[in-house]
Amino acid sequence: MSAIAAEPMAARVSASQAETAPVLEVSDLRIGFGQGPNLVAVVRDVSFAIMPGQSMGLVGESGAGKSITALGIMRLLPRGARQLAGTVRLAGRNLTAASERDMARLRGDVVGMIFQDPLTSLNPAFSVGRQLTDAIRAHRAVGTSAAMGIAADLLALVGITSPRARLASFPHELSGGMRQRVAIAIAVACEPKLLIADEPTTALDVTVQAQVIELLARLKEEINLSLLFISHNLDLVAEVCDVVSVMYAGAIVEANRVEAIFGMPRHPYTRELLRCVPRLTDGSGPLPAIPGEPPRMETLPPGCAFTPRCSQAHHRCRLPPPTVADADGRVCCWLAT
Amino acid sequence: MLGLVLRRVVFSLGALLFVSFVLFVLTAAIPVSPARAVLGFQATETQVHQFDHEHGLDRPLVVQYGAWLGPVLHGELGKSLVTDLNMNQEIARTLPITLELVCLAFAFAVGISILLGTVSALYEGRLIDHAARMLAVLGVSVPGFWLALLLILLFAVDLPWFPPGGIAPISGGIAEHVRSLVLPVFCLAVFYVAILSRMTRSSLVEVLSQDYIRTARATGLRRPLVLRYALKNALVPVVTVAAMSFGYMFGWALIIETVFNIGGMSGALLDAINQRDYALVRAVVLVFTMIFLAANLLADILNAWLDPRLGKAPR
Amino acid sequence: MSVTMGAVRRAGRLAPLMRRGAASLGGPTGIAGAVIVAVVIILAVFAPLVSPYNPVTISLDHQLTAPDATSWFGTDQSGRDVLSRVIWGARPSLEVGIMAVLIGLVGGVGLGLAAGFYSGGWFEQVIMRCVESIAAIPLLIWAIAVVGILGVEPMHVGPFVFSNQTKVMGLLGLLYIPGLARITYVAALAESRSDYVSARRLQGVAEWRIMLGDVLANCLSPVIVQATLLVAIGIIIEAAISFVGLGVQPPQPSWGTMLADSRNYLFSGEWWLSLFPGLAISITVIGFNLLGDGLRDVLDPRRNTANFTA
Repeated sequence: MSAIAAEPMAARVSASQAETAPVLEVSDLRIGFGQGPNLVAVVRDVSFAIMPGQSMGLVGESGAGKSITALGIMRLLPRGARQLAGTVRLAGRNLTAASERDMARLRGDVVGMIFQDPLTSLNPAFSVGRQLTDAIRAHRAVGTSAAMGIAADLLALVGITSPRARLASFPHELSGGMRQRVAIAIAVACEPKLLIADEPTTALDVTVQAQVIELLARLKEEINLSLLFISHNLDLVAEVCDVVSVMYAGAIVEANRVEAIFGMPRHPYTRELLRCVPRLTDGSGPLPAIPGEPPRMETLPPGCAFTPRCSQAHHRCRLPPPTVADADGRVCCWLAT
Repeated sequence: MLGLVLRRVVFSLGALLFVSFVLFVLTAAIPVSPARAVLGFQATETQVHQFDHEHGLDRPLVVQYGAWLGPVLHGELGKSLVTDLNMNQEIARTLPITLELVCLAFAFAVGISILLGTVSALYEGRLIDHAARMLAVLGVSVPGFWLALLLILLFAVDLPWFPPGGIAPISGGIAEHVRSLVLPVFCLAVFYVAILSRMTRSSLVEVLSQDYIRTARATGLRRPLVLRYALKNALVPVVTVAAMSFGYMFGWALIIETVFNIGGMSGALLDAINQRDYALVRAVVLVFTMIFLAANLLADILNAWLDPRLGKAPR
Repeated sequence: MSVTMGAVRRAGRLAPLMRRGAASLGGPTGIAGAVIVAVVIILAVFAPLVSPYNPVTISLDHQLTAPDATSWFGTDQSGRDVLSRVIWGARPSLEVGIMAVLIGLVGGVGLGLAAGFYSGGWFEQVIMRCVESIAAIPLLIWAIAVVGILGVEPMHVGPFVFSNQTKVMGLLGLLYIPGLARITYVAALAESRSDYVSARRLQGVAEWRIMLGDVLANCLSPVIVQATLLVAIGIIIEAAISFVGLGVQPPQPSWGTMLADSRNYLFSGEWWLSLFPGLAISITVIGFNLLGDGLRDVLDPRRNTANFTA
């Protein structure tokens, strides 16, 4: 008896084919901190869309605005931050105009989120079973014992052995990888259409990372889960994602299918990012790094924000670059014109 | 967890023993013998010596301690030399009054504090938070016994709502009994409301900014449930301090009882001091210390139970 | 013109200095507290100059007069001026409050520092066990009991004579030691494990020098905050002990004894006997509490101090 009812794959596929509307549609999202003259925009006119069953990677340096974008979508922005402009549509619903009560109904049910550090994301004072059943009963009218059964099934789904016994465990009794699995189980408890994963493997060992990634890929297949995968680790993104958006200084500089991004990067920043990924085949020379410093959002240059660090910058870069779009993707650079 | 409890119990008993010995040494080392109190200051040296000998007061200290400790371990506190009353009876007569006062004040303080602290945390930075903060500073600074005097002035003299002293016994009617308790309970509780509400507030504010609360909201849990989650996390340090406060309250109850002329253990202690009835002083202080140690023990146990990370072995 | 310009320039240099001073006290709260404390201390120190009348002179013509132009706070049952007694009463309260904390600091910080620095040996265990035992004692009850047992007359120990006030001071100081020791111990333990201490050891600096120089300096922040708050509670405790007659002895004026005396006149309406001494206690304690809060915001924002001990 599982909430993840095993509907025939065929039925699911045809259902998703009928839904050609995006699961998530972000348009010109602008998020900032502070007030008045101290207002700093950290997410600048970000737009992207995720189709049902699709997984999108959001990559960029630390501080590029990826996490804030995700929190902005969920309307869980930290104190001091607020959405300045733009709209977010989730399964057709306009989130920007939704009330907090509506958001609470959508969170967990239509969109789930997992965070970077599973130790701090799980409540240390409540058992795993309690946190799971509360997540289930927030959106489904089931009794406690029924919910416990579903919770055990969920733990089995995410690959935790002896799930029934694990229900009574507390987060600090589990290893890092198991905690992240539990977090994933909580996030997908009500079969949301979209899962936002904010650096889900950064705090884990490399071997455990692979397991979590494999779990996400499996969930994508089994319950047709769309995925917004935030990471600064390009290799993981290449494994998991269908499309990739590259973010720099709060704006999307390039977006395309994953093969195109990795095979034929068009934006100088994307090229630099790929250059910096160490490969076994590299010689033992110095590690490559992108020259310059990460940008300060308060003092961005006019025009393209990457100009100070771009090896191909020229005089036109002083003006905001246009977005050049084609069949699969788009890039925001003067060099593409 | 059991190991922790046992260790704390053993420690408490050890502390009690140590404390009782200190008490004994103090009272026995006083140059002025209780003989003087009983026989009067005109008594001759011979009479004093005879009194001492009769009551074993001239034996070595350690022997006296042993002789005293034996019955105490069986719960027998002995007889007072001065008043000749059985001390167990004395304490049995006065302790319930003090207990009632402290328990009521404690319940009131904890209840109001959690309420006030939660409201302050939820409306952090707003007017009600600042107002609560100022009230808390007042509550911690204004002496309870002065507040008692002012309230007596106000209510007993100008507005006869509450009686100015004494506790109306329950036999006289519950309503009267409660009315006579309102002012003492309030004065005793004010200080602790101030402290516990601020603790609740700061603890809750910190918890609400934690990642796991963000996860709870991301899961779509409704606000009341998120608040329940947060409170369970936030109240852990508060409960410990509250349990300790219970012990400390007995000290301040002593002062409040004096102001309101309530015949509780404090009156017994002060009378004993005035009459140089050191045996009774010993007995009363011992009982107070026992209660205090029990409260601290309870605090430790509660702490271990509430925070699952503490009671179990690290992984 | 140049005079005013000079004044403006001087004022300009003064402003950042004041701002830094203000910031080091933790903002308006700390400043308000510091001002109140300073005023009370000045009044106590200069009591002979500030007080309008002699606080112990009995004047049977002017018993129990309400506040008026000649006697702002009224007079008590012996005709003594209440305002003068309130001003002079600041002395025992401040003396006991501050001295007790100093005794507690010397003992507590010393023990806690040593126990934390030389942790891992029998020394640490013994010290901390003793400290915890004393902490198991309910402060107020024991203070009252011990003072009661020792008696309120001056105590003669060898060539020294201890007034009752001194006894209370010493007792409180002793009972403060566990709390301060524990805070110092926790801080010293953490500091002693940090890298800079190891670095100093490698430099060949003597152990005691490291302990007293580097580690101590970094432990002091929570201790200072707690010490200020202990002064506040000490003033209330001293007043409570005097209130039950076991503290400062008459005819010396003390806020606690004034409140005790005022009890006899509650129903006859002499409200000024109760109001002013209590107001003095409250304002003084508020001052120390605000100062402590302000210092805490500056020195110890992570709240490493214990909250209270009574």
